[in-house]
Amino acid sequence: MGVDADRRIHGPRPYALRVLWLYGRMLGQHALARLSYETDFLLTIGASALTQVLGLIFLGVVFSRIPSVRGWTFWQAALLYGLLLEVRGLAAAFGEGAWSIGGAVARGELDRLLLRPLPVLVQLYGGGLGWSAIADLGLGAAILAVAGPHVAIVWSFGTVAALCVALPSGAMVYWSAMLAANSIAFWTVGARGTVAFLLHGVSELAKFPLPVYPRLLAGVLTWCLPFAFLSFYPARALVAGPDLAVWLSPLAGLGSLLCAWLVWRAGLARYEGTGS
Amino acid sequence: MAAIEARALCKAYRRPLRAPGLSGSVRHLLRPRHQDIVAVDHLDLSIEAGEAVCYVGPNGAGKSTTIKLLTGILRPTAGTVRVLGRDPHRQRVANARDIAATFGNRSQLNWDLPLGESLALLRDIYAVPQGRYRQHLRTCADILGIDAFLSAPVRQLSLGQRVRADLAAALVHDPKILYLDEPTVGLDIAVKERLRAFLRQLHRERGLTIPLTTHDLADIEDVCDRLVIIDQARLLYDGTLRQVRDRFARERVLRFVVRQPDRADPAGILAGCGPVRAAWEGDTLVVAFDRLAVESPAVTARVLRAMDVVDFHLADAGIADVVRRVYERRLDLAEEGGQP
Ligand SMILES: Nc1ncnc2c1ncn2[C@@H]1O[C@H](COP(=O)(O)OP(=O)(O)O)[C@@H](O)[C@H]1O
Ligand SMILES: [Mg+2]
Repeated sequence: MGVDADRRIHGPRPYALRVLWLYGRMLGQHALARLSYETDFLLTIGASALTQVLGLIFLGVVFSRIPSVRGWTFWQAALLYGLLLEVRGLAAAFGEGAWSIGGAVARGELDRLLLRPLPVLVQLYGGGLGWSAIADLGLGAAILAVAGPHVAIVWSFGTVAALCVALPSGAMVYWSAMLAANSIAFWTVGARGTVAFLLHGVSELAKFPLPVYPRLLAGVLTWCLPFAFLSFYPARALVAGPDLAVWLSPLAGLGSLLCAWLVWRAGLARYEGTGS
Repeated sequence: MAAIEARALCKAYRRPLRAPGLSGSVRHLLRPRHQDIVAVDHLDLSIEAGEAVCYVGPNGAGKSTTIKLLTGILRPTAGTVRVLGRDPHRQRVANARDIAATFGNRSQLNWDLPLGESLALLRDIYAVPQGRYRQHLRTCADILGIDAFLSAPVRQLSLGQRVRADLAAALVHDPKILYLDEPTVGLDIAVKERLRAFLRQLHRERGLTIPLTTHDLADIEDVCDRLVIIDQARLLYDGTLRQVRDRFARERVLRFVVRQPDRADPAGILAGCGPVRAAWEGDTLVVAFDRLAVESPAVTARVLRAMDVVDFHLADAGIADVVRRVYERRLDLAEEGGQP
């Protein structure tokens, strides 16, 4: 071991890059630790896969009775369903940290994160991956592969570009919703996760085309809780070509992100830890 | 400027006032009412770089809250804190690079990871050069013996091992200030000794600034040069250990075991020594006095001359007595007199 090895500092130097690298490093450590509890791990994924299969059976039953719902054929609806699983799965995989906010607030564990020279959110999200999302992502991919050939997709440069902005925006909407909802733990320590579970339930509505819902609900899903951007608007762009809504999806994504961040900041400012 | 400066520092926690039962919860939801719990009340504190300051006070006095305010975990309700020239709450990240803190009843480490991995992550978070990191591991292995459990997940460590692991983790980035909240709570005597020896070394050799809270009196005498006493959110006393002894621990008790005591009033023998209190306890004459006001040799000489003394014992009030009196709320600062 020479002098050079002694002076060596692991990882990149610029702050932003370094934070990103540390985030990845934390996730990696967590993954290794988690994989060592093998049965635990398989159980999580298995349970989640089962839930999704049940949902799919439900979709099949509905469409076997009525071959087309409000202009959406079974295969188009399946495509939308697959998109939802992918977009939400991606957001859930990297959004697991939000679910630890409630416990961390109740037990005063944010103290530990506040002592480290890294943004608290980076540490929270670096604390774990949403493993159950693997099942969603796999199943979603399978559905897309099967349904794709049955749907006359409007492939154009515009469609591809639209998907490139719409899918990340949709993921941002879900990710932000979970952050904001879990941050409510700063106000009501007891009811941890309840609101987030509720919102996740609402996001289930995005498994079906928006026109099946009453106008009011469809409006809410576009303007208030914009879960329609997770699947409906991207799917419509695939089926009917890009429209204004899909181009505006970054507004929904960034708007949600901003709201969630404000809720998080306001919550963190209230944090008082626990007695000792 | 001092390393740590607190001016009129206040912290009040808001606790929801809620009647028991469902109706109470509903009423609270409609019309939330809160009660302010003052945990730190206009604290003025100044700690110089390199000082080891011991913070004592009964449970709930506000010690942990003060540490959390100084480390930037909590935002003050009023007043100011400066740590190394920064506001530790507003400049949390910059402050965090220069300080470290351990809380005795709660680990700072990730429970799922082996200790070695946690330490390596901290090395990377603080961008510690590899050579210095290896040096740190060697020191911790030598003095704290952490090499024995580097590869064990933190959840499997015993309390004694965990506390040592926490200390090793706190020092990875060579902080300038090390806050310790009840570092020896629940440890056995051997581990306590080991920990204190390490803290002494950090303080004396590396010049580390160490504010620590404790209920263990040996921590105070072994590690610290200064004592801060707080009770019910307020500062009661702040001074060096020597000043504490001279101000509050001045009582000296001499006991003379006498052969065939006559139990006569000893006031006559002791006249001229100054203000002393003397009384018989069986065959023992007990003489108590202020050791700064009365000369012990004078008392001893008179008693020895007048009686047939077979045994002899001297006891001074120590820091322990002072602290015990604080805990029992029996320390009357006005009555003790003297200048701090
Ligand atoms: N997170 C909190 N929320 C509400 N009250 C708290 C909280 N933490 C501490 N307290 C209260 O503040 C007071 C001081 O607590 P603390 O600083 O933990 O005292 P110490 O460490 O001296 O035992 C106590 O009355 C305690 O009940
Ligand atoms: Mg405490």
